[in-house]
Amino acid sequence: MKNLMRILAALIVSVLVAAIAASVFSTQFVITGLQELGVSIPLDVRLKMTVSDLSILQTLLIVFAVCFLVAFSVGVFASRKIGGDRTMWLCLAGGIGVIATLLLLQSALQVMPIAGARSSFGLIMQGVAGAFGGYAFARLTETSQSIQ
Amino acid sequence: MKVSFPLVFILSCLLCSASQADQNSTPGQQSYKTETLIESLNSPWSLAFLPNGDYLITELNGELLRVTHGASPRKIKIAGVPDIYVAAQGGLFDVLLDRNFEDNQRIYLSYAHGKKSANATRLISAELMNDELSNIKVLFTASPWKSTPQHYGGRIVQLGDGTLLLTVGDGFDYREQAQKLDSHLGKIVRVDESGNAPSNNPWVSDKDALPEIWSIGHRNEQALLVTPSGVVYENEHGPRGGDEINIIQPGNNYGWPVITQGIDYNGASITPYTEYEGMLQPLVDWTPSIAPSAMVFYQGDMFTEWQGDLLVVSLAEKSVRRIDLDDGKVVKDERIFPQLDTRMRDIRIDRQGAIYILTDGADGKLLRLSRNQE
Repeated sequence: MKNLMRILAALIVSVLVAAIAASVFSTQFVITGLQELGVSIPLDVRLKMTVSDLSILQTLLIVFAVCFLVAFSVGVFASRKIGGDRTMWLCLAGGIGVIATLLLLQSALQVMPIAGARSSFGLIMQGVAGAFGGYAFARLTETSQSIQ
Repeated sequence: MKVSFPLVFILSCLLCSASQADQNSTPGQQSYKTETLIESLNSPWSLAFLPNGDYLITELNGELLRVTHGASPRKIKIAGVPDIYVAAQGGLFDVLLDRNFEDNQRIYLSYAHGKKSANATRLISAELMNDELSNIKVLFTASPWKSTPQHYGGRIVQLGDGTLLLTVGDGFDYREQAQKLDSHLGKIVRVDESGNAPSNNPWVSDKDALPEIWSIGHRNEQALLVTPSGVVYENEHGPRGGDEINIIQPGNNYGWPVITQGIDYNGASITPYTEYEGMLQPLVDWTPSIAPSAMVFYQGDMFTEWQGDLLVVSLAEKSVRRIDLDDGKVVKDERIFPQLDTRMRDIRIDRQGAIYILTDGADGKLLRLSRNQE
């Protein structure tokens, strides 16, 4: 039971870490898109928009939670069966999981649900956000066995 | 004088009912009647009146229908409609009769053309005779092509000089292109009856711009009209909030996506700005969104109190709105015909001033609203 609670807490933290990173990255890509049109966006406006956009978390938290339930299960399984660094596997799982989720949603909705992920680079950065989540989960759930 | 109580009671009732009748006799209450002329239309998008009283109706799935007028309307499928890309918001959109239709039998159609990986808004002309299209000419295809089945725009208007305006949506995932002059996405374009860019288009001399572009900075324009005095009005969907009515003049920038009152569907910002130098503010903003579809400038003898006003139908709000204009300025924005609680796609006025509305969806209808004393 204690272990289960620990895993659950780690999942919550990893989802938060990934969702915040994803939101921040998306906002920067949206701002870049406007700047490429010649629109001036000073630093204070950028910061204000980045903070304001964290309201996207209400959508991202649920999506990332479902994504990570699947992705981290696969990552842990792979690290046990194939071997290698557990943290690396979980980062990979988080990253690929987020990208796959966004592509699935894009296929279902026929548009990209996160504006900052419309470009290839933007999508990759969403994967990086997922990898951050994987790293957080790995560190929070590592045991003496997994460190060895 | 002795006054009988029953008489007083009866007189009081009559006074009250007279007062109630006055309240109900204002437009938008009960001084009109609603008739369902046609039923079982499959996602109807646009209505045009033929000279003989019949109706031309487009359906999003690619059918162009001639529906006979009268007590038992018959639906006749027009043959020869080109291949339409039907997916999500894509399909057959607007139908417009040429101003000289009775002489040349020419109509204009807009639709989604292409396939999933590459599609675009297209405008064609064709001759309509004996329920068949012939002599089809492609007048315009938006560029670049896109891979989303959303945001085509698609409304057509013919100006007094015979040239055609067409709304082209931003394709949803391509919103920044609404500000770029090398893209038709998010624009209103103008072509002549042969599909050429007129020499007086605002960017026609700019070698880096597409010559058909007439105005920029639009999202998904669902209505376009020109008044008898030549004023062009348009309405368009914002994202979550930010639906607009704009007065369109050539060469103007209407701001999308740099300025909007709306936010993204997931709660994130589209932009930090609601105003920016060189970009125009809308005549009307609806936040929260109502999802306006079609719009008319009312001119008719039936609802004379609405002369010169804009009537707008909507999808999400399921409403008919009257924009009361006084010398071009908005005096009032109110819902009318409150019993119409359904998604609506098109609104037109016939020569008598009666109002025709196409309802949206798989079981669409053509409604006619007219004065009770007609």
